Amino acid sequence: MTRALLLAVLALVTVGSAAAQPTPSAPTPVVPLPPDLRPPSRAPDPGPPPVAPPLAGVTDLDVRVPDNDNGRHFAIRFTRAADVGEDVVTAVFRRRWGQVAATAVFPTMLGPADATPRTWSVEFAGPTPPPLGALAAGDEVGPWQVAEVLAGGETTLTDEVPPGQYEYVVVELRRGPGDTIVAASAGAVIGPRATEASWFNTDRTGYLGIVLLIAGFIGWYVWETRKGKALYVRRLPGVDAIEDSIGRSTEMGRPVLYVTGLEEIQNIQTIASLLILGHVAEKTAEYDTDLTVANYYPLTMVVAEEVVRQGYANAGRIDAHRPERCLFITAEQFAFAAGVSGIILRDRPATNIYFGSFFGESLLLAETGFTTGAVQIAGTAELTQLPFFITACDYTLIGEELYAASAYLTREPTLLANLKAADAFKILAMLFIVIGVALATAGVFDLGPWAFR
Amino acid sequence: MKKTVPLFIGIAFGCFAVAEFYIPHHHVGALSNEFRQWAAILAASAFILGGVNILQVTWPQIRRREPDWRYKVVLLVSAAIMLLVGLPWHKLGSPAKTPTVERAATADAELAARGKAAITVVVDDDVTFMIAGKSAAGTGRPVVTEVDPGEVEVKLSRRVAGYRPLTAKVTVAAGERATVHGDPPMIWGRDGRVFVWIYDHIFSPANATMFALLAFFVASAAFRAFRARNVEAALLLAAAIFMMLGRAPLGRAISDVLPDVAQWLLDVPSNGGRRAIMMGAAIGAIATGLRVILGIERSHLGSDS
Repeated sequence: MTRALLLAVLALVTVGSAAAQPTPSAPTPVVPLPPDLRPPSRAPDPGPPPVAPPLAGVTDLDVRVPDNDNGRHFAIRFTRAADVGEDVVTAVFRRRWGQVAATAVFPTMLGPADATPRTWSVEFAGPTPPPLGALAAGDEVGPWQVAEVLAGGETTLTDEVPPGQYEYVVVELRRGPGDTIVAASAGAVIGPRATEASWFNTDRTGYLGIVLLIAGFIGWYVWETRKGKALYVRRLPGVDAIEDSIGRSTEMGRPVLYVTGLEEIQNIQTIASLLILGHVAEKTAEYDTDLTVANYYPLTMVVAEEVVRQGYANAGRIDAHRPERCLFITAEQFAFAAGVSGIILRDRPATNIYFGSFFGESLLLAETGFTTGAVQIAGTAELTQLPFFITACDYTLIGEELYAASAYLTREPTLLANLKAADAFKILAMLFIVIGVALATAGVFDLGPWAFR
Repeated sequence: MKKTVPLFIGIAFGCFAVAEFYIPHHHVGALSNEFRQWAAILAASAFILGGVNILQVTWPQIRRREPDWRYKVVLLVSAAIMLLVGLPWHKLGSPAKTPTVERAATADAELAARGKAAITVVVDDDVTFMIAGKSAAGTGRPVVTEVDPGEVEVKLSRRVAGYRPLTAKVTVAAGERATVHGDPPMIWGRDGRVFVWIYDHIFSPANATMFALLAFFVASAAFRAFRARNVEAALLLAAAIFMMLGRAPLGRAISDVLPDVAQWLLDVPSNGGRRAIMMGAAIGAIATGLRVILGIERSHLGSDS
């Protein structure tokens, strides 16, 4: 069926092709409608059949591989005739290069394969022209496939294809009554074009530069520390308060509650939270205080349990480790808030630590903890939740402090070198901001290909 | 060994994840998708561990009759019910997928003269039906719809979710009358009636209740935050007063300047602070990521023993 439809289109293309390429000596030919397109003969014969005006085809057809492509796209562009009407749509066909139909029903390339420009035609006329809707993107028609039907006057198209070599044909089609196709232009042909996959996205050079710069700073400071240089890191009161609050819990004989946030294990805030958890577990093991860890995802729970076990092992108290205190609560936001609030109200921990990514439940947890009189320490990089934590908690680690806490707690030189590297890059970023402000003030807004896109 | 192998696996996959951001090649993308599927499988299997963890934690508490053990019973029973109703039990049987279609023995001359056919739908009043793209509600009595001859799609659905629609393609000739009966069967599983009912009528209201509590917590937290105990708190209080007045109709009634002051507070001091936190957090995240990927930070790898 579909093949028959396309054959009809291609028949029209043939006619249109002839119409669009008149000989210099002959007047512009007119294209009569095929008999099947004539209106039903309910009334007496209305006279001669309507005449479809000739259609000009597209020109300057260009198909190329987009920059930084993954090897699955072509950027197609062409120019349409200036006087083309709104009833004309552009159909783009493609086929794999070298793929020939088993039966020679549909379009054959006329003339030598390397002739420029090549003409596109068909060998026989088809039956009733199809409705335009029959040509949808992805439809297979013989060896050809409809890449797209552009009805909005577009002259560019990014076509997604499996890797390989392709040939393209672009045809203008005139839409008639009942959404049928009543005329077609000559087909503009191009090909073969091969897909090309890039091995480096040049648009992201700037980002790579930042990562390499930070990595370079880390390497530099690690080298400095190995030479014996002492690194100064400013105090983080929130992190210092962790040990004090654990001591308070011990004195009160109440547990410590640690919440790892509401994001999955691959989230960097959750990773930072788990890194701090190891140190908290070590301290609770040293002080012989119970530690309850509430997790939103089971995978986080599994890792948290292992981290806590390591913390207890580091403190030489592996026997005191109780895996059942690493809890998977639920992966539903407010059910999780209800579950953790229940733990806070029933167990009455003397210290509540909320490190990780939090959302709307942050204030529910922090306010519930406040009512029990617990010392509360929170840390998140979620901007919208920081005000809630700052209001309801005793100490809050803001943004980068959450990431710095683990290194700060260990005081291990290589980890402190990491903090210094981040600080060094921050100074550089400030410098960039000053330069950027100066350039913007001077009216320079485009730094060319090096600018981040 | 127990720590070294995961460390190297972490470094390899971490480096790949970073490299993938810079390499657009489709082979790299395909490999990345494969790894993401592995991660999804891991995460899904971890939910089994989560279920086991819940059982391990709550069952001993119930057995020892610890304080609030009754809540644990509610938890386990609820989880068991949701597990049971969440399984697609209907797939064990063979419920109807198409409605019953009966055709009249003789053609209707009047219909045939008009070039039409008729489909009669007999369904309960809680069932809706769609014939040739037009939908209508069942009334419990036969509903006759005239259609053009040819293939006509008939779909019967229940008004509420959790039932499988019945669909049939009925080919009718001019003058032919067909009658369609059907009762869309209930299904089980995530989209099943019981699961959806429990979710809509128990879980969702409870969820909304928890969310609504936030309003009261915001009020109590604001009451504490806006006490002018020191200079910073006084500044916070002043900014809050300007913001509230600037955003309320009362503010404009007092002075046209107040909304502009509120907007300036948002656009300049607040925005500047936000950007500083965002940039610091982004740099910290990159540094932490590199620390983990390069194996400098190892505490997350767990114990050797």
